[in-house]
Amino acid sequence: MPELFRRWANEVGDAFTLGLVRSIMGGFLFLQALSAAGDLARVGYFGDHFHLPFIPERFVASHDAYVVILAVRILLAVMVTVGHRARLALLGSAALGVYTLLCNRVEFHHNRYSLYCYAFLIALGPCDRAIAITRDESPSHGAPMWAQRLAQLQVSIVYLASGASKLLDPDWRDGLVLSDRFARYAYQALEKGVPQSVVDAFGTPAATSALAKAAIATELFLAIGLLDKRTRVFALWWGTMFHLTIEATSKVEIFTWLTLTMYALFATPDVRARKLFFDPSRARGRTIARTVRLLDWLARFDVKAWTPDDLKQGHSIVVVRRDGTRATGIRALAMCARTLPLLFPLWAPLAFVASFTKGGDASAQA
Amino acid sequence: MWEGAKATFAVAWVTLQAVLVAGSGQRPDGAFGFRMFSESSTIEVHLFRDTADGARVEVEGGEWVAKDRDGIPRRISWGAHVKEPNLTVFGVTMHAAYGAAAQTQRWSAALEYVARHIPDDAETRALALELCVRRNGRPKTVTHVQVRR
Repeated sequence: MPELFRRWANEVGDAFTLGLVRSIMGGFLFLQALSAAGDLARVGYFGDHFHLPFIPERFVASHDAYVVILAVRILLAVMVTVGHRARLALLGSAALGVYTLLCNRVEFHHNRYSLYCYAFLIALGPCDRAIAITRDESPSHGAPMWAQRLAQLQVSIVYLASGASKLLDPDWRDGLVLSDRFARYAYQALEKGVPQSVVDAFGTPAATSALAKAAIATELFLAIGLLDKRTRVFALWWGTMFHLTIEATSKVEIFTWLTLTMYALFATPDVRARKLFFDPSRARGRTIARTVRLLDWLARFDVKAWTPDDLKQGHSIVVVRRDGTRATGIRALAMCARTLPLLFPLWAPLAFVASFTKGGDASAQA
Repeated sequence: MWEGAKATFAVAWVTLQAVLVAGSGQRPDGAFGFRMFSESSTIEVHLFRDTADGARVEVEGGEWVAKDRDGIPRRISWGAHVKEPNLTVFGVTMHAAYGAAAQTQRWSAALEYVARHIPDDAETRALALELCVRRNGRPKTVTHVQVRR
C-alpha cells in the first residue's frame, strides 16, 4: 500500500474538535428535520401533492412512514447533538436525510445533501469521544483521524466541483451570470445604503468578468489550499471571508454555517497545545484571558496566570506557540485571532500588521 | 486489514462522488454535483387550457371553473395540487432556482401531474404552459409544453 495511504489510515490525533463538529452538526440536522416537520404541518404530506422523486414512486415513503421518519430524524438529531449513541444517530440521520431527498427532488438543495455527506463521514470517526453525555470509553487523544481527513477531502470535492463547473461554463467565466445577478439585485444594495457609484462600478462588464474569475479562482484555490499545510490557514481565512460575503448577499440556507463548521476539522487535532500566560495584576491581561477562555471553542490554549517576572514584565499576555516560541503584543493577538473561531476574520489583517513588527516576538524559547 | 478496508472505502467514496459530480450535467437541476449559483436565470409562466370547443384560454392566477361530467361547475385550482411556492406563481417573472433547465423540468412535470389529477374537470381537453425563460441575462426564449387529457 502506498506510504501516503498508510500514513492516512494510521494517523491519530485528538477527537475533541470532531466531537464539537458532531454536536453542531446535530443542531443543523435538527433544524432541517424541524423545518420538514413544519412543512408537513403547514402544507401536508408531500406525496399528496406534486412531487418529483429520484427513485421509483413505489419506494417513496407513504404518509405514515414519512411521519415516522421525520420523528426519528428529530430524535436522532437530538442524540447527535447531546452525544448519546452519537455515531449511530449520525449514520441514521444521514441515511434518512438522503432518502427523503430521493423521495422528492423539488426539496433537493446542495447544502442539505452536503450536510448528509458530512454527517455520514463524521459518523465513521470517533466523534463520540468528546462533548457527549454517553462517551466512548476511549480517551479523546490518540483517536484515528482517517474519517476526519476524508471529511476534509469532501469539503475540497465540494469546492472543486463548484469551481470546475463554473470554469467550464462560458457564461460564468465571462461574467454573464454575475452581471445579470447584479443587474437584478442592485436595488437591494442601494436599499442597504451602498452608494450608486459603487453599485455602478461593480455592475460594469469588466468588473463582473473580473469578479467571476476571482470567484472561480477562489473555489479552485480552496479545493487545493485547504489540504496543503502551507496554505491552509490562509485558505481557511479566505474561505471564511468568501462565505461570509455570500451569506451577506444571498440566501443559502445553512450552507455558510455548515461550511464554516467543517472548517474546524482543518485545525490540527490536538488540544491546549499552545499556552497563554497573562498578568493577573493587570485588568487588560485578565480581560484577554477571560475572552480567550470564553471564545476558545477548539481548545487551542492552556490559559494560565503568571507571577510577573523580568522577562514577562511589560506584557499583559504572552502566547507560547506549539514549537515553544513566544509571541507578545500584536503577534500574540494575531495568534489569538488565528485560533479563536469568532475572531478568525481578524487574523489576516492582524498578522499583516504584525509582520511589520519586531518587538512583538519574544526571542527566547519557552 | 483495517488499513486496506479504509483505503478501499476512501477510494469507493471518492469514486462515487466523482461519478455523481461528473454526471450532474445530465440532470436538469445538477443534483449531487455541488453546482452552486450555476445560473442567474428568470422564468415567467403562463397557464392555458384547451376547452372542448377548441379554444385556448389563459388561466389567470392558476384557478378556473369547469363543468364536471354531470354538468355541475367546479372550481379547479393548480395550487391545490402543487404546493412548491416556485411552481405556483403565474404571470410574474421569478428567479429560476437551480437554473432554467431545472425549472422547465419541474414546471413540465407539475403540468403533467395537475392534468392527471383534475377528474372534476370534464371540459378541459389539454393543459399547456408557456415558459418564458431568460438565461443569464440573454434574450427571452419561449417554450410551450402541453399535456392532453
